[in-house]
Amino acid sequence: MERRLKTRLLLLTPLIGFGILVFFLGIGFRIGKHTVHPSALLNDPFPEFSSMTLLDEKRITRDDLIGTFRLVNVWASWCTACIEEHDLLLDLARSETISIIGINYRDNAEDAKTWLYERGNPYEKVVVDEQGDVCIDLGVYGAPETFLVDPKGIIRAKQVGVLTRTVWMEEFQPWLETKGAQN
Amino acid sequence: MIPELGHFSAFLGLMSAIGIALFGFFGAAQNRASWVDMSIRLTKVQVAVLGLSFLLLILAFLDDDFSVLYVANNSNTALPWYYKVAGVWGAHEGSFLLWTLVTAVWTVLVATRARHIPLKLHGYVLGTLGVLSVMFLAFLLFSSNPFERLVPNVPIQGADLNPVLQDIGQIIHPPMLYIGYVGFGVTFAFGIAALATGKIDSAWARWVRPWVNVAWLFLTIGIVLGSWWAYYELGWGGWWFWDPVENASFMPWLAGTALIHSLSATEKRGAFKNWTILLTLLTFTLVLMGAFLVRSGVLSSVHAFAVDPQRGLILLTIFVLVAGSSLVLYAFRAHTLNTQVQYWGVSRELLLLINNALLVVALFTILLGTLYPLGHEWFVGGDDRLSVGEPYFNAMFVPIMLLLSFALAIAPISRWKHTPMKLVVNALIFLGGSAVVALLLPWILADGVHLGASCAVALAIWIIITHAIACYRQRNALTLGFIGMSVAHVGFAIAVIGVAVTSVYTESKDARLKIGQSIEVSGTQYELVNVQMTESQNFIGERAQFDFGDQRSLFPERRLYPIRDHITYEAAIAPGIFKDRYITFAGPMENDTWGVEIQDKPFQRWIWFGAVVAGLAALIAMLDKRYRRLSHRDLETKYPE
Amino acid sequence: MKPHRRRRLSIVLFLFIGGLTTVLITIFALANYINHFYLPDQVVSGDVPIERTIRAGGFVKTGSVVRDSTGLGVTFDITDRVSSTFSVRFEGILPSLFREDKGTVVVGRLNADGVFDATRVLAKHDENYEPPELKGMVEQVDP
Repeated sequence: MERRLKTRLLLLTPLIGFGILVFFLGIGFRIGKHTVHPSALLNDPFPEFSSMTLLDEKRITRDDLIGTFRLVNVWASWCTACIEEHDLLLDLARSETISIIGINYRDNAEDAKTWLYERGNPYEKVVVDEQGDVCIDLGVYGAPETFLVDPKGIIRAKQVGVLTRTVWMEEFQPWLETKGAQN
Repeated sequence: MIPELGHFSAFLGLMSAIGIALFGFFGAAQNRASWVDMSIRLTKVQVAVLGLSFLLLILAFLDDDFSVLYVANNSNTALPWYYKVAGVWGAHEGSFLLWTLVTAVWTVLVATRARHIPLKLHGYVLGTLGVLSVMFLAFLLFSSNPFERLVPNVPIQGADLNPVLQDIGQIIHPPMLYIGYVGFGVTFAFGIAALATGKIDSAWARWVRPWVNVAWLFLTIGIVLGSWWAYYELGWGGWWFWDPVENASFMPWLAGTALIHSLSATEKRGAFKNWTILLTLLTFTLVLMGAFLVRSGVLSSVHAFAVDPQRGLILLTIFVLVAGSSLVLYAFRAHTLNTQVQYWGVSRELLLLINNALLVVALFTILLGTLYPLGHEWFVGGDDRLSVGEPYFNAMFVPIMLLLSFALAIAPISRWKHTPMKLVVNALIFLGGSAVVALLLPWILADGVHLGASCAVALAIWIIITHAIACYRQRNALTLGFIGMSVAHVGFAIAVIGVAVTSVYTESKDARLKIGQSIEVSGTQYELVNVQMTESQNFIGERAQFDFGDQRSLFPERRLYPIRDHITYEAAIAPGIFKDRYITFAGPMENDTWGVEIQDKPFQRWIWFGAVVAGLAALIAMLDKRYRRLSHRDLETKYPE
Repeated sequence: MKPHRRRRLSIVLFLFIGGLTTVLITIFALANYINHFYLPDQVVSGDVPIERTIRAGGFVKTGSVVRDSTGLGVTFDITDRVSSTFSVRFEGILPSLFREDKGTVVVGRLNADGVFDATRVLAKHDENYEPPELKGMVEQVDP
């Protein structure tokens, strides 16, 4: 009888060891949680990046976005849907409603320049993202995609796909107005 | 339409998995052959629908269907077709679909190829595999759906496959690993079934052994491919890093190796029954833990998948459910498996016991080293950060492997129950001879004797000698099982020689050379003949030509990707049986000089060669007659009315 | 003692001694071979053991990378971008992603002169990978 009990206890040891293991994995999981890369969503800071600009080939980082409201627009010359929203972007740029920063996503620099030359350039600066790294950090699905970044560098609004006038009026414009009210 | 069909197919896979589990378990519990038959039929349905699902995802990749989110994130129109196919398992969702398909293939194989095993056992095995499938598929469908659509705006171009994965080694490495991992799910199912039926005997062991061997073969090949890739791709000649993700694949391998050995004692002598069962459970527990570690972001690593906390939580839940319930079952059922076996002295049982003890100790030191930072962070707090690096793992692992080698050399001459002392003494005499050879070799070949390396080489030579002699003595009664064992052990010895010699006798020199200058490394002159500028669409670089020996040349390259401000070193390797020459080119320095690192790595290939030999040996052993004969005996054992 | 009792005793003793040795060796190895990680201010303030293998990390100070006139030796400074900076000595090819003003982790020993003799220099492996220790630091020092 005593011997059987001992055997039984012995057989329980793997389970106990497993419990300890799960405990530590659970801890690791909880700790791991706040160090994971956050996919840039609404109300999160715009991710850090460092790249070159398309036209004057200067270094551009996240710091260059801070200070005023920016419309960050992901586009490419191969992206046909980008043409649809191009008129709206040009209007916004011409009327000086907002400063627009382009992210040229997985594109050939020459094609991109030609495209801007032919269709007009609404962008104050264009960030080159040939390998798509900046866009991966931004959690971009594909071009086009547009983000509204506030003066502190926080993403306030986001549009996946073509930016239409309706979306602009309803989801982006109000943020600019709150800024006006504060001033 | 195609993605929806793929999604629906995967859903049908889940339905059939539920059927497999229910019919398997209840058929076994009620002893109803027709229900188990139903389960067997459903495994065929499951493999068909999951195969279709996988094919449809491949089709979506080949079609550049960027309306599918997963395709848009991992492919690109410019990608060659074979990378498009490989892109299917290039990231989490698709690789998990492959994982479920592999599970289905293993399940259908067990269902159809193991018809000779008793009905109850077969039912429980299929039921367990069905439950595993249900969990994996539920996870796939509800949290990692590879067919998710990206609507309404379809991108015209995809984000491309991670460049690191655009490589042949990386294409075949994951499928090999998965086949190995899930194969240990089959042995897990056999373990659960044994606990459920309360019966484990020599026949059971014989039924399990071929499955273990195949799983082990694939896991071995998978690990070798990973190591080989790191060696040529990362540019500085390392082949094993004790990285958490590598450890995650290595721990099940150690447990699986222990299982193979413990099974042989269970088959031949009915010994270690409890322990064998525990190992079947433990191996798959470690597989699931590995999947959790790699896919949850708990431990950061170069190889880790994109991190998603929610998925991590689900994987942790699967891990706790599967492993936890199996160990509970073990705690309450394992005492029914009685072991009464007598052995004494240097018997084969004792050697297998030592083998298992050492492998498990090795496993636990690695587990401890891998998880220690987590525990430390918990107890001490986040301020004192630490890491467990190569020195710890080497300090623990190397002595254990030397002890293991010692036991292994006696293995072929050992007998069950009791080995005559004369045989042991004979074997020890050969050890003396091997030691002399091992000590003399470095004197003849190279500079200086290194005690550790000489010990390792002596033991390895000893292993080869004793196995050769044992095979020769038994030449008239050689079984494939014995040949398999011997070849596997010789493969291990070859790998030991490779590891020992490469680690100790690698000679590495770095220098700055002008064109026309040369440098001597390990007796060979390497001359920098010229440097050419290279240019491509997205990088500029310098390619150096180094001449050495009789008209041989190597062309290492340094590349600069200006847009990302990213430099890569494309090392040039001249592989050889006895040495690898490994040149890394560091590019221009001041005063018209060029930086270079040249490594002479003797016996580097032996590591992988030995491991592959051992893996193939598992295949040889599996073809042994005693496993085959059983599979011909068919239906009468199945329906024993 | 009956033979089977003696056998059991010897097995128990064997397991006990074996287990104990393993535990002791493991504790010894963990105590000696674990690399603690330090930030530049800890290195400068002298909280760091000398002549023991450690890891330290920070940002490569811009303009501090100086190559030897012969060989591949290099010295550079690591800074936390706030107040503390220490210098590092390394022989060999720097990793491909090593850059001024980028995060790096060095493995090696701090010598008595306060110079870090690095045996390995780790830079971010790819754009999405960062040494885990550094990740915390970036959060700490970047306001």
